[in-house]
Amino acid sequence: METYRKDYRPLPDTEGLEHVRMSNASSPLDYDKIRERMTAAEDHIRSRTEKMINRMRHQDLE
Amino acid sequence: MSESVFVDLKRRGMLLDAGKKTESLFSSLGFPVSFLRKSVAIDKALTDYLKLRTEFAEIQGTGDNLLANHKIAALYIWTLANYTASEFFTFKGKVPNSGKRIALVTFMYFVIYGILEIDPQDMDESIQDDLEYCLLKERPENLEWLCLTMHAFCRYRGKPTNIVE
Repeated sequence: METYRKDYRPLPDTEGLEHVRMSNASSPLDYDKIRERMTAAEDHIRSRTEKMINRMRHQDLE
Repeated sequence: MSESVFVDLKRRGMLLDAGKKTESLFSSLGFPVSFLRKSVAIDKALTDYLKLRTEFAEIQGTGDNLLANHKIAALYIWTLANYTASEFFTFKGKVPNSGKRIALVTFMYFVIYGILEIDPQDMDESIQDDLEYCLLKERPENLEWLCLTMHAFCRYRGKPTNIVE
C-alpha cells in the first residue's frame, strides 16, 4: 500500500491556525451515537447531494 | 467475542448504515441506486483503513491508543476515495461517472457526520463546497489536508470536540 506520505505537501490554508493543536484527546467511538448522528444529518446531506446533482447537470449543459 | 472482533463488526456496521442511508436518500430524490451490502469492497476498505490507521498512528502518535475523531473521519475518507462508486453501488440506466461519484461522496458524508460530533446545520458551506469539489473530481491531495478540513469542520462551526486550543 502506498504510504500517505508519498504525496506529502505542505498544508494549505493554515494561516490563523498556528495556535491550534490537533491533539488526540478523545474517547472511543460510540457506534450507537454514530448511527443517531447519521440519521440526524440525513436532511442536511440530502440538501448537499441535491446541490451536487444540480451542479453536475449545470456543467453538462455548458 | 473478543473486543477487537466486536469493534470490527461495529466498524463494518457503520459503513453498512452509511451505504443503506445513501441508497434511501437517492431513492427519495428519484434516483434508484442499490447499495451492495455484500460487496467485497467493504471488507477491503476496512482492511485498508486499519493499515492506514496503524501507519498514521506510528507517525503522528496517539493519545492512549486513540486518534481524535476528525483524524478518524479523514482516514475513512482517504480510504474510501481509493474506490469507485461502482464497487459499493449499482446504478439503473446510464449514469455518468460524475453522477456515480456523487453517491460515493454522499456515502462519505454519512461517515463524516456520523463520526464528527457536530451539528450539520452549523456547518460552514464554503468548507463543504471545497471538500465536494475535491472529492467529486479526484482523491484528495494529501491526508494532512483532509485532516485539516475535518478539523476545520469542528473548529469553526461545530462543537470543538477533541480539539485542544
